[in-house]
Amino acid sequence: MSDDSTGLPWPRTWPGVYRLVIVFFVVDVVLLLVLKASYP
Amino acid sequence: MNWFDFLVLIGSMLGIALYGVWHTRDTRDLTSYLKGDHTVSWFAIGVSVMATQASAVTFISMPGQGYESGITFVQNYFGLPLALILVSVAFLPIYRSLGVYTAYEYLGRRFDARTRRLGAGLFLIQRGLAAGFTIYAPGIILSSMLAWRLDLTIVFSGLLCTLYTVAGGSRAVSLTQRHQMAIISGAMCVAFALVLAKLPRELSLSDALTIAGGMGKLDGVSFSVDPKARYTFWSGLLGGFFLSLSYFGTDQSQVQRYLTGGSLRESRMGLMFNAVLKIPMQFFILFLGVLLFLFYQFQAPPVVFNQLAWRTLAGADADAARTGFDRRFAEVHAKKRDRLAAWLAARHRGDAAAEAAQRDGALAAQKELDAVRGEARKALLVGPNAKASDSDYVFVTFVLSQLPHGVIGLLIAAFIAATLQSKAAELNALGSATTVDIYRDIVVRDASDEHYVAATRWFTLMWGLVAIAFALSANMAENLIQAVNIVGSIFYGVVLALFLVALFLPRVGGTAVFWGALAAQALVFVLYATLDIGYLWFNVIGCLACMGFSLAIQLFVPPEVRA
Repeated sequence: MSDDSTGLPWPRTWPGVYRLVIVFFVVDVVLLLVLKASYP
Repeated sequence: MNWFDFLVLIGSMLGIALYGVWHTRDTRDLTSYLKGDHTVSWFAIGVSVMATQASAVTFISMPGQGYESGITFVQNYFGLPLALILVSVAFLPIYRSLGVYTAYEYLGRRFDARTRRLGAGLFLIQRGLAAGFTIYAPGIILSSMLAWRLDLTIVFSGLLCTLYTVAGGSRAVSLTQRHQMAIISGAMCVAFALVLAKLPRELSLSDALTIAGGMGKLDGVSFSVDPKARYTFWSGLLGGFFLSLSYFGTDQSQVQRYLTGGSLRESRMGLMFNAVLKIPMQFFILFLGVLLFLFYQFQAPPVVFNQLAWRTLAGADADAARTGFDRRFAEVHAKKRDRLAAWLAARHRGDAAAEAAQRDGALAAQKELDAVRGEARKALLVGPNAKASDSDYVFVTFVLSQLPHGVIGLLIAAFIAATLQSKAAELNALGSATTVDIYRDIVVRDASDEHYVAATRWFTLMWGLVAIAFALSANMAENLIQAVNIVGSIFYGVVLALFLVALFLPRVGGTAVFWGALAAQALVFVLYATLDIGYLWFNVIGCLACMGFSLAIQLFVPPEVRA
């Protein structure tokens, strides 16, 4: 789905942005873990 | 505060309000009043969505949370990026393709008018209560900063915000939020830089982080599975996911923000902007609180940060008691500072045993300080401000006592801007949901756009006055940011379930979901009164209960034929 015209399924033209969001989230959590482990 | 602070404050506030009203003065039809003509760019939507969520509570109370409990609160936002992806995949395209004004209109089309009113009703109750909080919370703090009466502060900021929301509608909210957010971001960055500059020169970044970590302030991820623990990775990921999904997917104050997008792509980009930036932003604000904690390790803080309540009790006995507490507090603080210096010295020598011993000593001194503070609060705090959590005043106290004039005015402008922007979006949403889901659906069905715009203006004004009245009479809960989240968590699960059933359980009809929702909401009320668990879990319970009940009831009612 790439425009307003269709229904629910995963938008084919957009997964890159969603993947990027998930990568950012994982990086956030990893950085928080590194901070916690470095300064216990 | 001096005249320069007031000049910065009044200039920035009035400038933004007039700008919003001037740019939207010709709005006449319902679509542009409620949805802003579909002309807003992704960046403006992103900022608007962020600003709607970030009230003054965020900028005042959050550094206090960081000061007291460190960065652990950041876990609350772990479910948010995933929830925003689901909103942008499942909810957004449907709202846009159906051309709805409010999220609850979709419930009406999928189920029936009764379920639509239930969804809108739960939203109006929950958001109406929260609107009182968002104006009351900063009110108590601003009143102590400006030394104004609390009721005057609430009435002043409440009326200013109601008037420009009434005048401009959704587009005015989006337009002004951008400028308010710029002021807030600028002011918070300036504050961050100034706290850093005020830390002792001999303290390296590594030393500072060692102290913060040793004092338990850098525990940003906890994998504990204890259901009573308020903030863990699991409650943040799962509970936070349901809370965010409900808030961004079904709360009209947010739905209305991203429906102003010029296209589906713009709206989605606006949401993804938040999915990426929200966790770093909350970390930044909490870390500001950790820096404040470090600053007050080397410079003695007041015994109680809430100075207005601390000074309320008059008389010679109260003065003597205050002096006594001040003296004891200063002694313990000096002892702790010595321990910290010895700790860092041992660390620089590489003496691990001495380092551990001095760290334990510093932690014990910190406990002693907390005990003196607790005793002082018990003995001397009276009056309407006494109940509010002291941590809410940490940042305010720092701003007023440590920052230069001009910056103080800028930060107070930022706090007021934050109050106004989230309040404006809430009022706008309350007004439009009342008009579209209740008034147009039940009272006057076929009137002109001018009629409905006028009705929305009147309902927005009415909700503004209700919020001001609620704030004036509210007896504040102990912790502001938690109070807002707890109220949300009680209602959000069920509202979310209405939408999830609509989207993903095609066999369930209006009758089943309506009664399922009522039963689930009753269950959440009972469990909230009887169970001692982290409040984020009520989002999950309410949502799953409503979906389960709806499915079960559907087994016993005849399937409905949908148009």
